[in-house]
Amino acid sequence: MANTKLNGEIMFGISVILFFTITSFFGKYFIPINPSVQHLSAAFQPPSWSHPFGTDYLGRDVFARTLEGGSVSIEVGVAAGLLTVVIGGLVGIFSAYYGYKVDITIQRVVDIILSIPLIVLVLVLVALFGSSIALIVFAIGILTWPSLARITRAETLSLKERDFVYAEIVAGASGIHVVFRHLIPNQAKTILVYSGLAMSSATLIQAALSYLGFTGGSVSWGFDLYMAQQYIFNGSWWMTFFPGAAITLTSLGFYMISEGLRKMWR
Amino acid sequence: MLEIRNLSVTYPDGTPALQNLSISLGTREVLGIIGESGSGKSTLALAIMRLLPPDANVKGEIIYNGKDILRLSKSELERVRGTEIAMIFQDALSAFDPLMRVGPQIVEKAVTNKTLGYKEARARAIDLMRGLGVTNPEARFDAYPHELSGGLRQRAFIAMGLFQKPKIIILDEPTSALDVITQAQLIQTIRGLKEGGLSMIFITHDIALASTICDRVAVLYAGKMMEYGSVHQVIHRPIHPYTQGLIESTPTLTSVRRGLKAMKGYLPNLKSLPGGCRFHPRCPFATDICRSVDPELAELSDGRLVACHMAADSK
Repeated sequence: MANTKLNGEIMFGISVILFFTITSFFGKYFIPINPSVQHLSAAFQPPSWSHPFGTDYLGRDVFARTLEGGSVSIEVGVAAGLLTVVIGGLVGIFSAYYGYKVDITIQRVVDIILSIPLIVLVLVLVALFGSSIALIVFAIGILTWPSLARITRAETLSLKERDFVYAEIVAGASGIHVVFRHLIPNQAKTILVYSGLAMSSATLIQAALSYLGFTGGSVSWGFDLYMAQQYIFNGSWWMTFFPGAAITLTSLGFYMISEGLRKMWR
Repeated sequence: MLEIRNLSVTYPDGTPALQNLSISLGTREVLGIIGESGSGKSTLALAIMRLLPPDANVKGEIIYNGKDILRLSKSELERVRGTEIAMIFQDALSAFDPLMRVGPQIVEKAVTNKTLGYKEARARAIDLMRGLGVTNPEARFDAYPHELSGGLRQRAFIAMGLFQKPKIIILDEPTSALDVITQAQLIQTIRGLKEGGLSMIFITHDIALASTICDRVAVLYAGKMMEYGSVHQVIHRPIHPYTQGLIESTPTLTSVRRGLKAMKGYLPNLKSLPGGCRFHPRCPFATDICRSVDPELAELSDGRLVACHMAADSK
């Protein structure tokens, strides 16, 4: 059977994601600095012992903001990634298993969604219905499932011609039973590898949205990046560096889990 | 028990896989379906189980228990499959989900339908496997498919087919993937099932094998029934030149010494069948009428059906 030893990629990914989860959800209990309180007299301070990541243009503590901003990134990354995987996985499998008209209809929907620039469509949805975290998750979920649907569809097309599927049908099994008992377990690895990718890209989409102002109502790395970009050239590198590095690391963390799983099962 | 009337199957690409086939299966009878690859014998099995692709054109009737299987609703069909008619196919390795243990797959359907609790189901499956000649069935129940040998796997597969006590079992080349010794043992097992009162449709290309267990035999050629009668009639005194050719090309101890007689030519392309009798290009006795008129199935004085102009003359 496959090698199940955890490799470096998985360890790296899990450590990074665990680190950000712990620091962003529990960090505020240990670092008693309010990330939103302004000290205009202390603006633009470089990193020091009292402000490890420096302060921004309003004198807010960048360290506290970087801690606080992670929670929305991880929430949206995990939730939207899972939503994408559930929708995409099921739609692809049912599309292929039932085939014919069902398949043709679903695949045309997939084509249409894939042909529209993702970020534009998310922006339209968020602009129309507000930018709560739930809506951002929903918008990313319903717009990014098609790529996985294509993968699971292709895999199901080959799995459903295998004799054990016929043996099940001949024994009188229903379609639902075949899908959940045989088709999903037999491509679980593909789906799990993809879910890491989906979370990685959901994190990036969330960052892009908050960069454009749709923050979900909370402190967020993307929005801080937007506010800080105009001060890059006066030497205040810390205002962009820390939130930017955090976005990159979180996205990379999810990606490395996915990559590690893929290598482990190869 | 099962009556097939005027069954024709055309695949969406226009291939006529079966033409106007009528055949019946009696209670406790073993019906052999013999033919080369591409003769339509597997299509027949798929049609009975309603496993043909939905865009295939299926005409005719398959009557079971007074109902036409081809017109059953989805839920009725799910009830018939497995509990009334079961099917065993050639490759038992691929017939098991590689991720699940063998036993749970045997009992799966009955347990999900709550007709049996898992413990009773397990006990029954183990009994059934022992009855089918599986050694150490308790251990096999918890094994993964790849851990079993080919013969054991085929027996486990038969146990899966029999688990829901079907009345009819379709065996689609169940022994082709096995070596001769295992094959012989399995044939013994299948004979035992026949004694147990099961009706069977036995699909094979191996005419010698068919002669050992079948009661009646139908010979298919390019989607059409060529000869249909008792084993004694068809295999021991074949009348259709195709059946004769098949039997002459089967190796036996004596024929090997004499040298095998191979049938000349190939199975025709189903999409462009030769005019007249579809067998005439390969037939040693073909005459002008064979090249122009497709012979009807006709009943001979001994009760068998033959589709051949020459046979009708000799009647």
